[in-house]
Amino acid sequence: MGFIEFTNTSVTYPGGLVALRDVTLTIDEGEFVVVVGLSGAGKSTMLRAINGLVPVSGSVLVDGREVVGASQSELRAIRSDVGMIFQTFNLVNRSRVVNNALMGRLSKVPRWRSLLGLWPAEDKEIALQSLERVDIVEKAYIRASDLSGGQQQRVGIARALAQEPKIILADEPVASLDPVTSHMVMRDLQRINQELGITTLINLHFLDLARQYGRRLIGLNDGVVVFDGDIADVNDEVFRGIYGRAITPDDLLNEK
Amino acid sequence: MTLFDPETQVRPVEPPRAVHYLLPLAVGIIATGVVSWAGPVGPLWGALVGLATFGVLFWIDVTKHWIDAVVLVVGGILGLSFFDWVLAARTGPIDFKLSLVAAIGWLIYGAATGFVVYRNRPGYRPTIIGYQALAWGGGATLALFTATSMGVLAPLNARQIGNGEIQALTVGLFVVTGLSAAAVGLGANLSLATRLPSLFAGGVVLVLTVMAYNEIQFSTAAIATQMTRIGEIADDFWPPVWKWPKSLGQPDTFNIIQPFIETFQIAIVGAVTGNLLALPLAFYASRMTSPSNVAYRIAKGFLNVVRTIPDLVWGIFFATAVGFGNPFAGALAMIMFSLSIMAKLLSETVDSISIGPLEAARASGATHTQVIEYAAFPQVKPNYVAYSLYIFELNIRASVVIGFVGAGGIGRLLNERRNFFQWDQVMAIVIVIFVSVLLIEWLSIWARRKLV
Ligand SMILES: Nc1ncnc2c1ncn2[C@@H]1O[C@H](COP(=O)(O)OP(=O)(O)OP(=O)(O)O)[C@@H](O)[C@H]1O
Ligand SMILES: [Mg+2]
Repeated sequence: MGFIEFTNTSVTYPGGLVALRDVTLTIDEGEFVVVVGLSGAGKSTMLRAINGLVPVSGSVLVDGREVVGASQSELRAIRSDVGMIFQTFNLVNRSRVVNNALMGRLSKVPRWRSLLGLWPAEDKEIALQSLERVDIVEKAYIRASDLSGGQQQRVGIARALAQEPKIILADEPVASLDPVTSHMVMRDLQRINQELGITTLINLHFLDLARQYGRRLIGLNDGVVVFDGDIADVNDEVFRGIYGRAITPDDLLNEK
Repeated sequence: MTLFDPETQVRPVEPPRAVHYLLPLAVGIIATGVVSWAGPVGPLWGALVGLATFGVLFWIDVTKHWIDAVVLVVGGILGLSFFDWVLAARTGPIDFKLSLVAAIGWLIYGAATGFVVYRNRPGYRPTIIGYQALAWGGGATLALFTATSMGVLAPLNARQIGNGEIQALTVGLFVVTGLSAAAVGLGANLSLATRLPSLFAGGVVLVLTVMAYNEIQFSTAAIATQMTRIGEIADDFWPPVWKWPKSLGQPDTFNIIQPFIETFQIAIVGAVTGNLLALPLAFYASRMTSPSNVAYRIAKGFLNVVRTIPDLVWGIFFATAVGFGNPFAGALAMIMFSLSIMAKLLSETVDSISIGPLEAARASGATHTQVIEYAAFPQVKPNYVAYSLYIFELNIRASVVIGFVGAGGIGRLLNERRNFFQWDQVMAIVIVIFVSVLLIEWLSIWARRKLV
């Protein structure tokens, strides 16, 4: 499980701006897909179409469940199977690391338990195990704000893992990290994809990172999919199609 | 290098959590209430209370060992037998002192629960044994004493407790509470850094005041000519008179305590209820966390209306509605007062929280309430606690004033004594108000400093 099917999917924001245009493609279970494109091309919009955080039309099937027109509780059910990782980590800074990880369990426990903060032992165990998986469990009872950027992003990954998701969406997960930490986090994500078989979609800014870790690449330009194929096939011409110009050192993390 | 290696990972110990202190205690206070209500019932109840506590500790994953059940049951039997024995051996009615002695039984039991938590949770220091013992003992004392003075324990009493006795006991309780409050306040030990700004502010106020006096032609010469009058006025006010007859022909009694406690209660009820009600309202009244635009507008509109009405008007309104001089009227007025301030302050704080965590929680499939509780509330929690203390402080002062318009409490007494021109009695009341407001302010400043 964990496949995603876009059929004539479009996203139109309230102001009338069409950020995603008529996308039709399928992502199979267990794939590791990298999405690239200029700023404003619609990368974040594409990820958010999958968990229904943006106004989407056409059809998006997640695991066979339709996102377009889903009710609030159907949406919550879909979202609970889709972990999301953010560029700015989006942790609750004042809360402890373990509580941030437990947020991934919110949709899985009875509401009265989450209301009183009486987490079942199994859910605490899952949260701690996901912290272990990204090697940050020794910070479990420290405030999230007291961690370094790379450590915070690992907590962000642990929060997504605690959902026991079928799909992980990572929106520029390394854009606010230094090169060394970026590679650590990318390796964590790759390992999770390989070991747990979780379908993974990552938005990236740097092309070499995409080449190093990705297999399949989706190129977006102004809301339109202009490339979808093996990352090895990306040549200067393809690149020009996505970015409208030739490759510069700015597009490569390792050149910086 | 962070390749996953479970061998090198060490899980830290979970630090103490409030729920581990509070839940057993809640069980204890309820159990004590039930047991004291049922009268002397023997060790069987002790065993039951022990089992109940074990159930709670089992449920919140503190202990899964049956040996702890045995410890708690034995502790319960010992504790309750002592409690019963003290009550059975008494010669007079149940007063505060007897409640205190009987509560030693519960103190023993509290130590047993503290021991169980300490034994099973490596993060706890042995002080939890003392805390639990004190809390259970204190809870039992208060429960027993309150139940007796409210008449719930009438069958247990050898005879009716006289009015004077109750007053004496209330005074005793009040003195104890006051002394501990004073101790905490003095312990606050405000540093020079906090005093400097207040000195500066004091200076500014002084200058402004002098200027204002000038403005209204307040000349020192006029004061000098009035000096003799001041002597007369001072004669009226000093020395303060603490005791006077309640009504004509009755002996002198200390009448300030009762309405003072009433004011205190009005302030507490008003602040606690108002602050709790304001919590959901504040999240509805912020665009950040409101479930919908309509909800936002309704909440905001309601708050705007409530806020334009001053506390005095609420006091008059509720005094008319539920009865002149009724403390309930004061409590209702203070609820509206606290609610409007808290909801305004908090919703403005919520406006400025970061939205990222909210989106993350929503993306994980959380409900709206869960998003607020886990992503929004933690961001404003310190503000909420600080505002609560501040509002309690305001409430004490405001509830004195609304007493004047018929909302009960010490304001009513002050107004009454003033109408009789009993200036020396008014002075005594003013001193009590002054000292207590000062104490509460110290406490609240200290607590707020602790929070930041
Ligand atoms: N909430 C919104 N309301 C209206 N327009 C939006 C909203 N979010 C994004 N847009 C617009 O949609 C387009 C695509 O935005 P999106 O965030 O998906 O781009 P992106 O490829 O992720 O860019 P970046 O690399 O800067 O993150 C942009 O023109 C953006 O201005
Ligand atoms: Mg983006």
